[in-house]
Amino acid sequence: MNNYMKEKPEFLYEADPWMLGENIPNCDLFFSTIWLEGFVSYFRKHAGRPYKKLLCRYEGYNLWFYFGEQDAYDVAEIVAEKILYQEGFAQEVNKHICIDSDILRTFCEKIPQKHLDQLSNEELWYYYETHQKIHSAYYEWAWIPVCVDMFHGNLTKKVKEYLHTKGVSEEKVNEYFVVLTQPVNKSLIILEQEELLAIAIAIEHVAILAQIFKDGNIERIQMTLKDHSDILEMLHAHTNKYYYTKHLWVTGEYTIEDYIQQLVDIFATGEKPSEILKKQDASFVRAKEERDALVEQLQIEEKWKKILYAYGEFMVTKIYRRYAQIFAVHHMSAILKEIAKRKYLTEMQVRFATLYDIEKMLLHDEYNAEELLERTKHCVYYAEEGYSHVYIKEESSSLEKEVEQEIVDEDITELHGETGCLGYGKGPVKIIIRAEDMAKMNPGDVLVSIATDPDIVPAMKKACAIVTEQGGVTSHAAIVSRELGIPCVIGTKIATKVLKDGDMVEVDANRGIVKKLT
Amino acid sequence: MKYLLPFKQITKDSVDIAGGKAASLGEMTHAGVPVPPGFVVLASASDRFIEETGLDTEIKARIAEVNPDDVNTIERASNVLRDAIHSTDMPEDISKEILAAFDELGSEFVAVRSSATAEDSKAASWAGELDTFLNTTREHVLEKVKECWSSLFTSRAIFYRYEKNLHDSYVGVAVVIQQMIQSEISGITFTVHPVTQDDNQMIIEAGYGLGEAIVSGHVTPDSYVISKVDMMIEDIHIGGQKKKLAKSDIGQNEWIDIHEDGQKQKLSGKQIIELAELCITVEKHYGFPCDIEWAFADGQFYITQSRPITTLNK
Repeated sequence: MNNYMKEKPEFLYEADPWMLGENIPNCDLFFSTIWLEGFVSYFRKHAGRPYKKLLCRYEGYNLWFYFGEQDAYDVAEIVAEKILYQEGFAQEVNKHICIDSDILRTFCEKIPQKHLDQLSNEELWYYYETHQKIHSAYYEWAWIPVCVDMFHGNLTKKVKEYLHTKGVSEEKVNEYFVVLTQPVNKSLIILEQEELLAIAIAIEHVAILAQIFKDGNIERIQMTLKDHSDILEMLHAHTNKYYYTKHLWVTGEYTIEDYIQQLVDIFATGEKPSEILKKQDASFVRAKEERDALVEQLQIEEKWKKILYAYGEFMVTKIYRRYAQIFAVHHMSAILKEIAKRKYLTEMQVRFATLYDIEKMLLHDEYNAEELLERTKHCVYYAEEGYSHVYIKEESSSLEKEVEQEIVDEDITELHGETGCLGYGKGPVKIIIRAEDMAKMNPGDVLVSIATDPDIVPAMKKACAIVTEQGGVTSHAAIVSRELGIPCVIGTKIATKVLKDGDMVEVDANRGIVKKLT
Repeated sequence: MKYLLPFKQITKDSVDIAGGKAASLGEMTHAGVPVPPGFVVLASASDRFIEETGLDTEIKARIAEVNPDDVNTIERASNVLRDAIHSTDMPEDISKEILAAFDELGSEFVAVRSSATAEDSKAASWAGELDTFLNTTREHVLEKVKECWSSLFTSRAIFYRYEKNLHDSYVGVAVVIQQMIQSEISGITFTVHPVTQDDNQMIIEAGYGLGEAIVSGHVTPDSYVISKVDMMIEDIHIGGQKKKLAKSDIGQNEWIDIHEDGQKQKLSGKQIIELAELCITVEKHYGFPCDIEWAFADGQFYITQSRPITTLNK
């Protein structure tokens, strides 16, 4: 059933306290084991060493994965050293992330989405296995920017130390750091946003239509659009291009209605779409000017300039790879569904099978439906090099105790994190984890999430401030907030546990502090 | 065979003489749905029995004595009438016909089920709840037929008649006698999800043992949600059954502890889809959403009952 080059785990109980890597809602074993298994093996290829062990706990489609605390630190140190002292490594990382993303996307474009019943079991296995291989290889580079910063902030710390040697004070270091690592290329998120704004501008030119969008009645908009085939075509093209970006990580597709709603939101700001676009462009120009001026002022050396610029570029390539990956998982859903149908399993059972399970299932018709069902409720996946296993029932429960979380004190009134984007914001909290939570988001609310993803960008655009539990300076929330100019505090660890919908909070992003006001 | 009809000779137009349950079984037999073989004792048999033995006068008199506000009078009338029916012999030609048909069925055990005929739809709805007897042998079959007949006069039935003002409304009782399926697994299918009312979803409930335990809510069955569009299982929920109803060595039904086995998935994925396809055949034949009772024994599924789902809003 699993990867058993070793007979039993070697490091499972070796002392190194488990540390939460990420909590991901709506994620399954199929997708997560692609990276989890890689982290302890092939990740060594460019990073220098893999993680020693990791453990992932699943409760339905909700997962928490853990590294050894020291282990994650050691990996990050090695990778940070490479970025700082191996010339050209950071640029290499960015280049390969894009190449690997393109390889993944190109393969997945070929995965049939219709008439899958005509495929043989062997063909299904070909798509499953090949996807897994390509998607695994992709992480050899893709995880590098994440691993250096996400858990102990190793790279950020080193960059800040450097800034101190340049005479930057403790008070100014956050601000300077953000300015110096400002991406100057646009991410796919901002590019998509611009394409949507282009549609808004086309609407703006037709006075009647613009008024109907301002009124915001979706049904009426749809009726009226029938007489404006050019706009409707643009909307369809946009939907066809980006519909999959809602697929995190199990289900979801954006429809044309969703994009109409996003256009209504743009018109509801009262600003002219053309003005919004101009402002966005101006802020990119300004960011670059600010960065260059600061580089000048601090007399940053050439070597460090490259590192800081590559750091900024990490954010852009992260979005690029994320889109490719969502596309891949979306297209693989059709394969998983067909396997489920063929083997009389639920899609969820198939989503909780490992690569090894699927191979036996498709090529030898051997599988344990009951065990798969059990996994869909509760399971623990453990991996180290040469060994991986999915534990269920008692074994799973006893491993869960190993990673038991401290109970969060709900009376905490102040949260601390890192600066994602500079600024100050104040407003009522809205907890937004996935796209279905977005309906409650009003302009001026403070968006609070575990870690943001492309599916909730429409809600992020309305926020006066963004607060996350997880992620470092290159996390999705940090990138999007910088591109949209929204104050953002990242890595508060407990924001969704301490804050509730409606709580009034003050977000001082420059200092990384979130204060509860009531 | 004046008073009996085999399922093959019954269609949905036979409701007046054979009752709703038998009509549905006949209809399904015609449609090629696997129904446990059997025959029906027509309502005319019960009518003749009551008239010929003079019980009709007794019934009128006793019912007239009932004061619906006084439970004691209802109980008294019920006891007297049911005793009278049970202690009166059936006309010999009818009993002979039943026993001959029983022998021809060639089954040691049968299920004996009431199948009411009623002009009034309200009366039909409660008459649907008249008695059923499982695992009946040749020795007891006539007695159980009479118990079906007398189930028109349970306290609950009498009370209901008064409550709904139905005492003048004619209700006949036909009786289905059917090969007993010693179901290893049985359950209910709703061809439209009764909670979400989603046309594209079917829900199957399954448990070990005889289906009556599930229908009556005495065991917690597994439930499976099936997408009718692509014939896929969407959700599996294991019920955690603790005991099952089954025939004992002496032919009676008894509760048996099943311990750990109850935690298992009752039907395999393949069986779930096979059953779902069978239930779609039934639904298509009727042309409306159905509430289907089914049983699984010796590697085969049987449909034991089917009726329209009445609780849908649409």
